[in-house]
Amino acid sequence: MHIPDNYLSPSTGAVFAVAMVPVWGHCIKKVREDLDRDHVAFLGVAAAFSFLLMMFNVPLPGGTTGHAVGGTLIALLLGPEAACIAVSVALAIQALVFGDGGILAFGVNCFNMAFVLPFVGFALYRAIAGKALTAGRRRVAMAIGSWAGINVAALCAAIEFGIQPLLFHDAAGQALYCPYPLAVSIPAMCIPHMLVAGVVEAVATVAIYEFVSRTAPEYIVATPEGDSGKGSSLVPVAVFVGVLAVLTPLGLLAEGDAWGEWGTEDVASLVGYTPAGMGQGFSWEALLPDYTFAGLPDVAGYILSAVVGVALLVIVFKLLSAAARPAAATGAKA
Amino acid sequence: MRGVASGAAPLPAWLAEPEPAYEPPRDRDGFLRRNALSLASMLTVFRTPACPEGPIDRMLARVSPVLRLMGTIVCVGCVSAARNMAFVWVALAATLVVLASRPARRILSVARPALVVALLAALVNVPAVFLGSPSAPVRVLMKSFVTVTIVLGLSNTVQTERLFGALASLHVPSHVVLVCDLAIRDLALVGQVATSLNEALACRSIGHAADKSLGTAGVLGMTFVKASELARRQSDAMACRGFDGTFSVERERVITPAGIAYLVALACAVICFVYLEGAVA
Repeated sequence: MHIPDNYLSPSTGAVFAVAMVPVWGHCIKKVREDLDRDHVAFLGVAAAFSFLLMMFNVPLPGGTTGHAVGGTLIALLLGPEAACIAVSVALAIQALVFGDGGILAFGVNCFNMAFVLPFVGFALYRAIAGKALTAGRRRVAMAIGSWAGINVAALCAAIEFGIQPLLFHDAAGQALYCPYPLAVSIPAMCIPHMLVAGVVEAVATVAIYEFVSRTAPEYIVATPEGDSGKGSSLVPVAVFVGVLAVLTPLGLLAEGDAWGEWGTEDVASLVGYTPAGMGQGFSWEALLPDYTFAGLPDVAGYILSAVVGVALLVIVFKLLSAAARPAAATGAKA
Repeated sequence: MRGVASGAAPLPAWLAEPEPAYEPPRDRDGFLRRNALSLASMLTVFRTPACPEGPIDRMLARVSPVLRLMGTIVCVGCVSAARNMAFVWVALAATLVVLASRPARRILSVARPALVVALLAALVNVPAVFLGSPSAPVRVLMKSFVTVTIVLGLSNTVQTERLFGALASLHVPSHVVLVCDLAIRDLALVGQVATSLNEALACRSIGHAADKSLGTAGVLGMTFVKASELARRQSDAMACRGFDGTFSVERERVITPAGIAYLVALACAVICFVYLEGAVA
């Protein structure tokens, strides 16, 4: 779902980037109001969950790959506004350091995965769970909310891909950017996400939420459960993040590219021509392209990328937490 | 108030006249605050007690300073000598993990100077881009960041006394250790004196001073006088206590469970360096 550069026109990217500015402004304001220092620091751990989940590629029907995002998970832990900030920062690191997702398409990717996904997922969770105190109904609501969230985000990405040939084409009718119309992009994006990636997102959301609610309940502020007074420690959560980072090479088992993330040559071989905007488009030289290190095996490179990404996210949010209001004396240990 | 005012005698004309307001010419004290005061306050860093914060630092605090010192030298040497970026990335990942385990205040105290040094080093290497080595600034930036972070990590988490003890254990002559110890202590004191003088100057300075050299020279001169006085008093105090030139420091046990674990980690780092450098060669 990480739209690379040159699949969308620069004007499309600019429109979504501008549209995201008030969203980010609102989210920053809400996070500053709602979260104290400890919880802003914990947001870095939550962002790390999202970063790692996005590295676990799963094979999708049609020969492509997909991944969970974890946006609804963060929304359930700390609120949708916090999720928007966390996923946006994770996407920025992925784009700048690892070349995953475009620089010009950063606003679009944030709109899909940092805004639509967590807000839809959280709203649906609220609608289904209501004020239910039964854990079963809440878990079902979480699963349905996270499944729907990623699917609506995939639908948005499909529409953004599909409108490109309608809006941007040359005199011969050839697309300048993404060459696939809505009739292709919507089923190609939505069906695999409904069948596989959405299910992975739902399972990951419920499982990780369950783990955090048992080990560090005081860090859950958006959907606190009854027994949040018991001791919280981030040590098990940190160990869990470490285990996930070590397991990320499992994502390499899924062969092939995600739909809409092919290289220019691949697109040319698929549609028979190179869209002009893609051939002469913007190019960003990432430090660690595709989560690989020159001189290291792919597995080691993938683990190292996960470690670097997670550490950067934790550091960024710890530094941001210095500007947050002091934590109340709740007994939570950061 | 109204009654008092109505009952009071009217002010004489000479007193009722508005006084010419004194407005000192505007003078930005940026020079003083941003340069002299900040430079002087940097010296007081030597008085900041080193204390390990964060789980990894607390584990490292159990390791003998001798091993920490040797490990730091080995790590810095490996990062500096690395010809490919793979080992530098591994070192960067490890450094970032250690940084991430610290509280925000500590991260900032290490990352800020490390970034400044790294950016400066990269800036110096910018001409290499035009001489056919486009990756040189990034390489230097990363190496500088990692090495400075490692060294600052050591100084921030190991007390100065323990570090000097480590120097003595490494058979560094005792008078060298003594000179280093006294120099660090004196630097901290001189920094405190200079900060006090600059603060006093900032409080008392009125108006515009086009020539800053006079004030700066005054502060430097007074700092020098105070430093000489402090040194003389210290010498007298040492003579009074019968100091005979022998400087003994407490030596710590090197081989402990934490020390063995640290040595294993260090060996892994060296093996990783040799393997990755060999892979490229």
